[in-house]
Amino acid sequence: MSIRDYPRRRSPVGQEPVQTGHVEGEKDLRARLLELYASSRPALLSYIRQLVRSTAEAEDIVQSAFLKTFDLAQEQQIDNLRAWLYRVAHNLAIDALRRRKLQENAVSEWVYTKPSETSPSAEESSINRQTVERALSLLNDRERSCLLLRAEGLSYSEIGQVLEISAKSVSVYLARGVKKVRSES
Amino acid sequence: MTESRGSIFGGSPHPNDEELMAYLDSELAPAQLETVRAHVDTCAVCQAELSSLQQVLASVQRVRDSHVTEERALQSDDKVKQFRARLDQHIQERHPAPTNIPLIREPRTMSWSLASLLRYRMPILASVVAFALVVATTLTLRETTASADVLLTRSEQRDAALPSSSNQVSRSVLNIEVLDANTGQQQALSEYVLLADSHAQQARLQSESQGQFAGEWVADGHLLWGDLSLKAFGATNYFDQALLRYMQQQNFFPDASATQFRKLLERRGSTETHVRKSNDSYGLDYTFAVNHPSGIRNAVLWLNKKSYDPFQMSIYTANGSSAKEYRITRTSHVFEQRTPEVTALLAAPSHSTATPPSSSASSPSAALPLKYSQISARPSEVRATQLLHQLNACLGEEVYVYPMSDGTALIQGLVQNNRRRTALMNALAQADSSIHPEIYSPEQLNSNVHLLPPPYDDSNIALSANKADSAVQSTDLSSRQIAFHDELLTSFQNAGESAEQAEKSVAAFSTELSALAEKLLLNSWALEHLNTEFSASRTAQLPQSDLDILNSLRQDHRQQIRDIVQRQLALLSRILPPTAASRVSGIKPSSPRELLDLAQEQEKLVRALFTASQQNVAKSDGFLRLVEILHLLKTD
Repeated sequence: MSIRDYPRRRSPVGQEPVQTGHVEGEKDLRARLLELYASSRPALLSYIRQLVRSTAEAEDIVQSAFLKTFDLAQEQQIDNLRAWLYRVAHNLAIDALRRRKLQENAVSEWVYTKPSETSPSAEESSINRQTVERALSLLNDRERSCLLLRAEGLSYSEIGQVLEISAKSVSVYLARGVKKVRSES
Repeated sequence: MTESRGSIFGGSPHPNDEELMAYLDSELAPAQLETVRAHVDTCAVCQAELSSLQQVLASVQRVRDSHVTEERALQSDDKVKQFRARLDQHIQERHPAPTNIPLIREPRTMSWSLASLLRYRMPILASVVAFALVVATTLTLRETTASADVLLTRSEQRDAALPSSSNQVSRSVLNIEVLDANTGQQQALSEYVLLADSHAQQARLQSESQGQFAGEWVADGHLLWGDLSLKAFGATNYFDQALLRYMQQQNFFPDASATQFRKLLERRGSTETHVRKSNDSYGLDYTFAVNHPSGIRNAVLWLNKKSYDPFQMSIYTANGSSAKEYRITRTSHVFEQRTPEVTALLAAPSHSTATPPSSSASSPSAALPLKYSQISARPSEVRATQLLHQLNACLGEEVYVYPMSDGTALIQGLVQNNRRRTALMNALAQADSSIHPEIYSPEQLNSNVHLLPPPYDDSNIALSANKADSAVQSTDLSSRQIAFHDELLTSFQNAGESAEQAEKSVAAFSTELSALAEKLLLNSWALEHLNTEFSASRTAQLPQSDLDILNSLRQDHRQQIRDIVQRQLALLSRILPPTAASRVSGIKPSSPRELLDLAQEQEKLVRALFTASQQNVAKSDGFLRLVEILHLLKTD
């Protein structure tokens, strides 16, 4: 008998989803989104910037993702607002990439992502960081996204929602991504 | 234990990479988690691998954290303010302010103030007019310089926000006019219906007018918009040849959309833009380089001021003394369900009666998966489900049957290893042509493989994750022993076995009972799945023969459950106290859901009482409850 994936393969594990419970009024939603923007912008921006490799564009994508979410949340209930935001922003980033055909020179630009200037920590850790960033740049899109979204604290099921794949596929991409990063670093 | 480990890891002595990964992240099902933990606790190889995985994950985490820390350090209140302004503008655009604000207010009781205002009315009026002029000029300047590109991007984002679901197609009605740019006189007019599926990269263009360009054209498979332009307009003198060549080169189609407009602009050779304004629309005017090879001077995309929806595109050309405007107007743009009829329309032109069989046959790549909620069950789906049942793939494997838009059924899933995959593919290859199998093993997953999400919401069938389980399992397991170890050992020794032999028998007992418990759970789960997949509302239109098949599948699971329960009771009779059998007072399950709940409870009890687990279950009460459940299931 093979391993059975029966019980909770697609049920969220880990972080509790933000429950809206109902479609919110405009004022409440505005206040909540502004709060969420202030708290999650750095993480979301950092994730999107690693996909599109342009701070200005990432900024615009993140804002647009919030606006889209604002529109949608007025029409229907969104159970997991955070996963939803990542999904919308991720899709906008992929669209932007396709438009600009950036993937061709992805690697060279990846190396240009600014190194840690703000932290005067040991040179060793900076080298390590560059090595890991370089290794991440060599992964395919799914593997990289899975690793980065996992680092964002998303559960496999939430990552699956963002990338529109199954939770089981997430574990496969993660395992593969980790192995590749290991062999490169 | 060795036997059990080998079988659970599919013949390999160790868990595979993704199991270890999911184990690290506590993303395994409780039963698997325990199995993997039991193995890892004693396996130096896996412990080393886990530690190595953890190190890599930690380094990725550090990189992510340092990015976010930097971002946080850079984040100022301005960023949030900037976003707040954009959000408020967005909200305002959704609800435009009322335009008829009353200009005349009720006179105030303090008449001196009105009198003093009246005295200085001329200077006040002059100041107001001057101020209004300054504001209007500033606003105009801001809007016209701020943003042809910004507005175009917003319009594109709106495009991207539209349904990207695989089940949607867009239907646009386009008027394409050619006007003399100097006189405004119309030289030609045609109406087209454009059916496009951006997901499957297909489009069909149909001329609906009775004019000279009646006909239809299909871009299939990879959406060569430029070719579609050439096919539709190339054989006419409707479009200038130079313009057509440029359209084809840019893979452009004259649809009034931001996406198409962007393609037209890509090689315009100029950076000049400005925004034209009217009461309710913006015109994004992009100038082309002088003597551009396409003959285009400039192109304008008109957007709705509130929604940014594009509704018209004008391409102005100049060739010697003649100047033309190609005006493309979207008179309607809607999204609709991709029905089998639409699929057929997109697959092949209806007028091409002499289509070779190879292209008229429905190809699975052209069809799209539908959600169960969108469509009634069909015989192909029943056959696929029956096949999976015969292959035991209904027992917990991640394999789903997707009804496709062309009437066929897709069997797609991810299985444990290549051996299992080959076995399933070989067996499914025998099926008729209405069933397409796509089974993957983890090694085959790459960015070209798209595993679809389940065709229905099965989250309520997923057995509840019990966090307490994993907490218990994370305790030190070195002192684990089967709760009923001593009773079993005594019973085997009483039957004449040596101490050593009796220990082995206890281990075999534990392995068999827990395997049966899992199998019982999986059969109940499969039964509930059948119930959800083939609900009464979905099967109302199925022929009786298909309903019979579904019933036989259900009966089969029920029979298996009864057989398993018999065997479990026979095993347990070895240590069954005489009073236990008489204590059957619970309520028999009346639905597959209740049966599943009982099966889940029995599996937990078996794990707690008869495997080396340290779950907190009162030994005798748990045992009596287990026997009770088995009796309830026995006669179900």
